[in-house]
Amino acid sequence: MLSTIRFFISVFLIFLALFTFGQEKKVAKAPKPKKDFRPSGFRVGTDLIDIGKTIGTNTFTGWELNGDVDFANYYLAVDVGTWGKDILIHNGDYTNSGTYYRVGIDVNFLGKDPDRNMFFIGFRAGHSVFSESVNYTYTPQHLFSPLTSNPSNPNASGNWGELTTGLRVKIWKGLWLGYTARMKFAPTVHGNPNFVTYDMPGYGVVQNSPWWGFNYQVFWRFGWREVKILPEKK
Amino acid sequence: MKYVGIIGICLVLGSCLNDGNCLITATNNMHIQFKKESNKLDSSLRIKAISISGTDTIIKVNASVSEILIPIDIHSNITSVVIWHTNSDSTKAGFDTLQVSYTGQTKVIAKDCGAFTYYQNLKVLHSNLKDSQIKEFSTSLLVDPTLYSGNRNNPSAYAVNYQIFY
Repeated sequence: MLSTIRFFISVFLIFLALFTFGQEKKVAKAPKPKKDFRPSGFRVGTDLIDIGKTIGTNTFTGWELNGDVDFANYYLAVDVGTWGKDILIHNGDYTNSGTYYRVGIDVNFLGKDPDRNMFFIGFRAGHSVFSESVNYTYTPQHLFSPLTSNPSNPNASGNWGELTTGLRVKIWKGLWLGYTARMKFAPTVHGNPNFVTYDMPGYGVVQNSPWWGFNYQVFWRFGWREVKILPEKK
Repeated sequence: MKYVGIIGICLVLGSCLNDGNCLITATNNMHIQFKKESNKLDSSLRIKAISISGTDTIIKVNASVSEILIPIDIHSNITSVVIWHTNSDSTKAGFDTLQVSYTGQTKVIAKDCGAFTYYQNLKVLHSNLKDSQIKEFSTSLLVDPTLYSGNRNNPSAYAVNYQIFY
């Protein structure tokens, strides 16, 4: 008899516990705020390394302008530049000159940063229009005299892709500093079939894929509206 | 200890950025093999001499060979070759002619290696040999320097361009 009473008390307590959970009030979740994809400004900058190489060496001449526009934590990024190289090679010299651009998207992983500093990962598609020539002496193994030739590739163009990562840090008012590291891949070149392109402006040595690039950049940001930074999730 | 990782990364990146060793596969040597027409097997041809257009030098061979390297004229897009030969007991002499055309492609290998001309699109323009006596293989003149085996004239290191059947 006693065990029967114990059994019913236990069952009662279990049901009581279930009902207790059942009384828990559902907390209405706050609606997720919509991302504001309207751009709030744009940044324009330049690569300090290219300027340094142009001033400090006599083998490179070039500059690069960089710009981006925000769409929430996505940035449309555009780079435009020129580069020309004059390289002494083992049996002659090689020169090239051309312009290039890259277009792509960066995704900012510091979207909640109050200063809107950026750590980003992105992608670029690059295009280059350039000319190149080489002056060299080819010395055959025997019988024939050495041949000096000066072939050129005057109307060449090429494309490639890039994976990018980097930082943008606000220094003061509209002044920003940052860097971009690039892994360049899948270069394709169209031009003189009797001239294998060595160095494509914007890409680098074409025979190397993947190839690497690095920019240290200074920017100025022109903003036209404030952006509300969404609070961190608790 | 923490610098070990940084040094390792620098070494890895450095190895990615350097020009590497100069492995030059460009050559102006055309590789010809001689075969027996009857059984398509290797055959030695007793070659007395070879003359090549673009040079006054006549290469004296005076040996039985189953394959030879013939330099093409790098100052022209056409080279004519005359091969003087005899039969095995030197009782019958003769000569064969071969005129080939080609194009040169310039390639900068690396800063420290230099630029080279790669000869390709090799084509027989004229020959006194019958078409069936000439079999075309590679239309590019290429060499694998790792196969020189101490001798830059080792034909085995060069891509075979033609087989001639006698």
